[in-house]
Amino acid sequence: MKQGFRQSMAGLHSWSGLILGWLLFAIALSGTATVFRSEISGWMRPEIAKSAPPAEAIEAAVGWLGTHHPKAAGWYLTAPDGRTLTTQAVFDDAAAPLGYRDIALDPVSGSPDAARATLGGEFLYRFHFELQLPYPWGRFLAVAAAMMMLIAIISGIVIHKRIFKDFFTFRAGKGKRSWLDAHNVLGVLALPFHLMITVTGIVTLLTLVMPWGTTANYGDDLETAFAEAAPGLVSREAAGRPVPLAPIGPMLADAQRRFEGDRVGRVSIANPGDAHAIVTASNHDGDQLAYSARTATFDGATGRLLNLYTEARPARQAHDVLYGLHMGRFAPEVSRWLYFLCGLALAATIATGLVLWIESRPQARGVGPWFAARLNVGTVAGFPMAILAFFYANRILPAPMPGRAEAEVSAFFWTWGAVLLFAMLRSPARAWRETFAVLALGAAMLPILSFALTGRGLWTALLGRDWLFAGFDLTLFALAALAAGIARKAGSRPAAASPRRRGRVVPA
Amino acid sequence: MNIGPFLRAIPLVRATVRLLLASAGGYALAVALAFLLARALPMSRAEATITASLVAILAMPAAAIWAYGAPRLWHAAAGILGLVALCGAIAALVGQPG
Amino acid sequence: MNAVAVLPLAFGGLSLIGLSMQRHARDVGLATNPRWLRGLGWVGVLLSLTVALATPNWRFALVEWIGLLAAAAALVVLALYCRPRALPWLAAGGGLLGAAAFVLLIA
Repeated sequence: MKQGFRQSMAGLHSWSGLILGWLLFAIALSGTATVFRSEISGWMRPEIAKSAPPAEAIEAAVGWLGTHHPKAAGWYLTAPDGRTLTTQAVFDDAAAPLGYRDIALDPVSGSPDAARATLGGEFLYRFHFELQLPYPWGRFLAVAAAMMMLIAIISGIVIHKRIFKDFFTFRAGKGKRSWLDAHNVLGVLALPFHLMITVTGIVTLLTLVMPWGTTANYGDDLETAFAEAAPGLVSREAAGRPVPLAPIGPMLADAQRRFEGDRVGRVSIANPGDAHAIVTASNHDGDQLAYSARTATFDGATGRLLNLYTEARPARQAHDVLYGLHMGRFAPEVSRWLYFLCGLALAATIATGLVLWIESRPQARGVGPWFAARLNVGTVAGFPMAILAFFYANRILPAPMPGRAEAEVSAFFWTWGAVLLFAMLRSPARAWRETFAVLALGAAMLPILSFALTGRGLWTALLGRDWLFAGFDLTLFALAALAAGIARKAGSRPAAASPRRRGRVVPA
Repeated sequence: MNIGPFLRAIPLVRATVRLLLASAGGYALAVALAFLLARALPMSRAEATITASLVAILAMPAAAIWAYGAPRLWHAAAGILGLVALCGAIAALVGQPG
Repeated sequence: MNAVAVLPLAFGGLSLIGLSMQRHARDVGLATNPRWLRGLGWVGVLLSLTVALATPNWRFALVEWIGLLAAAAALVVLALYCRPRALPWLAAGGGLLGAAAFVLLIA
């Protein structure tokens, strides 16, 4: 039973990668799309073309929420900025299917009715770590998957014997060898990113997965623990006496001044409309790596400043930087695209790993390998197809349709289910080709359909310097080309590989 | 501790024990380490808490690597369970700060 | 915006490191691998880091450099796959382009 360390790590790598591999692929790809959460949201609300200054937009949002959702325990608002035209509002609502609402408000009127009802990029963001499961199970599953990923990365480094010698090596047309090369190159070249995003992903759910440091030092006294962890925040029970919220504009202007040039990014209002209302303004996440570096807290009823806080404690700052690195909200344009590309590389590393598991077991019989091979197609092709269906539904479903936002999400899951079913009924080699061909076609057609239905097409976007729509369409075309390339390559046996390429490869 | 020959006869039991050591053992180690560091680090209470949590999550992959990489199963078990006991004992001795 | 200088410099540096390896030297058509290129390649990579960090916000720049380095490495793999014999020329072009962009950025 005694075996070498590297060999046992090989076993650990292939099994830790496989068990939650399909889930990890979905998490990686939805996270990659989430890099452009703001842009996706903007694309999915083509009616809104004009923004307002952050303070005015927040005022408008507070006005609408005060009329329509005065009973909520708190409103969590993200102000519009250079990337987002709308105000994003999250608040508890017992009538909502998940117990809370996450909606975009028009920056001028404050109402959500100015645009078609859609979750926009928020859906992919939420799916990335909640997996459409009830709290806290989705988050537990996501953090377990991240831990598996971390174990797979570490054991993967251990078993890669020639990590530097094979750094630039990709040998095409050699069957399993090529898959392994692709897996290695995709994994190794962006290894710092893969490690960073996995560890920081666990850090974003730190209080959920590792609350025991708090227990060790505070016992059951969570109130003190929270107060010491976030001294910038003021929390107090609702008084039960209704007092209208003081004008929020002056508070935001005050916060802006005290932030010494940083923009106001997020605004939360606890106990709105109560005598104990509290308004907390945080600086914009785009101004520093650390998430939530500065807060200004006001008494909601009087508008008086209660607390001004800048995080300066080293360990807490380190945590906030790790958190901020994962969120990537700081990332300026070039970094944002690099996050996106590295995320795609991570998803591709997982996908090639899943394919390798099958390719390494050509003799394997039985239900397990049969199922795994089909699950590979159903997820690797099915998940992007589902995202595409979500976008299609956004364009096709009529704007006044009741339950429209939920219907878009249904389109996502029904499509994924349909591709999974299709993959079960077809031989994997054919299914790879066919699903990716459909994916390529679907991605390439979407800009055209979108142009037909909204009148905002690539040509007009380029002429009007509308980078959001132009970027979205061009990205879809690029991804369509990628999918077409995969459709051509995937499912082709090594024997079908081009002999010209093979002749060039130096024998190992 | 010489249950080795018995376990060797049953690969499934061995595999299960390794899996449990890697998962439950790894989490237990992380919890024990979080307790130890949160109480023992020479920092303010809040700072020690967050540092402890950040370091403790790394104990999970480390334990998984050890659970599968240890030359013998009892090495894996002794290493992980021993560390859990050690960290837990010191954390209990230090006690909750006032 | 100094990614315009960082990416070509990193590409040039990594290409040279690749060329100093036996397998890729053969891909390119060289009989033996010029090991001395490795040092020069590292100089290119370090140069790209220096250029990257020459901004007021070095924290953002460091994150971006790590991403650009991965992108440059991916381009080297792509070049070795599609046009291996062009790699020395591409490396030289990368170095020149990076240097030119850097000079323009400073000016």
